[in-house]
Amino acid sequence: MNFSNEQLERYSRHIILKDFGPEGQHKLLNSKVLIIGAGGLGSPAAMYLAAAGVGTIGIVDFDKVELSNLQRQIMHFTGDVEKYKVQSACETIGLINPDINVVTYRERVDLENIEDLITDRDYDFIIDGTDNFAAKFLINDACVKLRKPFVHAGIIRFEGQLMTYVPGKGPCYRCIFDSPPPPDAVPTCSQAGVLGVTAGVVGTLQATEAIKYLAGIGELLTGQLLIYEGLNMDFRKIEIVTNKSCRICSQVPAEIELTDYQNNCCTG
Amino acid sequence: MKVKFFAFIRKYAGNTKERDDVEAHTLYELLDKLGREYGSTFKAKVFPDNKVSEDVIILINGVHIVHLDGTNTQLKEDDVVSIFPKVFGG
Repeated sequence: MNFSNEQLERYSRHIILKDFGPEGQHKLLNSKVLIIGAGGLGSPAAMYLAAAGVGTIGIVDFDKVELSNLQRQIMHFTGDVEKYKVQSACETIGLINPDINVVTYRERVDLENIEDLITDRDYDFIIDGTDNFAAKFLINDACVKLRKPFVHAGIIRFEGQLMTYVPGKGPCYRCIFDSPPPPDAVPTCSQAGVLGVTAGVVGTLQATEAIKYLAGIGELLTGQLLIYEGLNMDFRKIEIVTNKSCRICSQVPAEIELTDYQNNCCTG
Repeated sequence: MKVKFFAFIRKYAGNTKERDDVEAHTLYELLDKLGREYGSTFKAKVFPDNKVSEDVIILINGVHIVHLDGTNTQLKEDDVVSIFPKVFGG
């Protein structure tokens, strides 16, 4: 394990950390994480993973930064309004830690590109930072098909939820959520609002799950849905089990057919 | 059986986290009783027209009710019913 002098200093608090140490840091430096969505959840996740020294970070987002994003999407600054989010994200990550290899994909995740995005650099872990059910179901189905671990999250108002999927080690997102709700059945953040810091809390928890998985430490949120209730400051878990009749993870992975829900379910 | 309310569903249940004092033989009976007790907002958000709202998920012992018998699912003394909202913001 060879660290440069700068790395030894930059990551010194990790390297001295019991149960993490130089081995954990070495694993992070050699890891590749794909973050889908450079918004409220993707921002803190990307920034902490960059600071932690995850070697390659892929960012997927087709959108431009808007003024109304800045209250929670902390990777983008006032001067970034009208820039593509992937460009702004790349610049911010570069300022935090210039050693990170940032790969940007200015695309909307969909049926046609999801598998290519995940396999492009053979990413080790996927973070779902999207804001619509179509993408969330697609990410789950593709990750189960390609046998890739990912962490799901969603936020609204003062609340959030997350769970981690690891192939062969517990239920997938479909086991709990089954199928997307019809259009307009569930309020969006733009309709109901969201306390900006909620994205920070939940996105940072997603980064924690990624780091634990990559370093091989701790216990992941597999088989558990964590619900964060900001107004009461409660973190509660629901034990969940793999559904033997789950329409996705009960199948042979290679035979899973992805579904495009873009036009017939709730979107952000 | 134990009923747990999460996120904004909790607000409509009088900020109750969980309770174990409701007697019901089926999920339908449970939701009907809760609707009567907590009133119109809870009813509208969780069990409108006596159907589970598209806005919420109900698990019994960690299993989605679509994989059980829906609202006809029989409840036992040691069952845990979890009610939480679908959330997709990011």
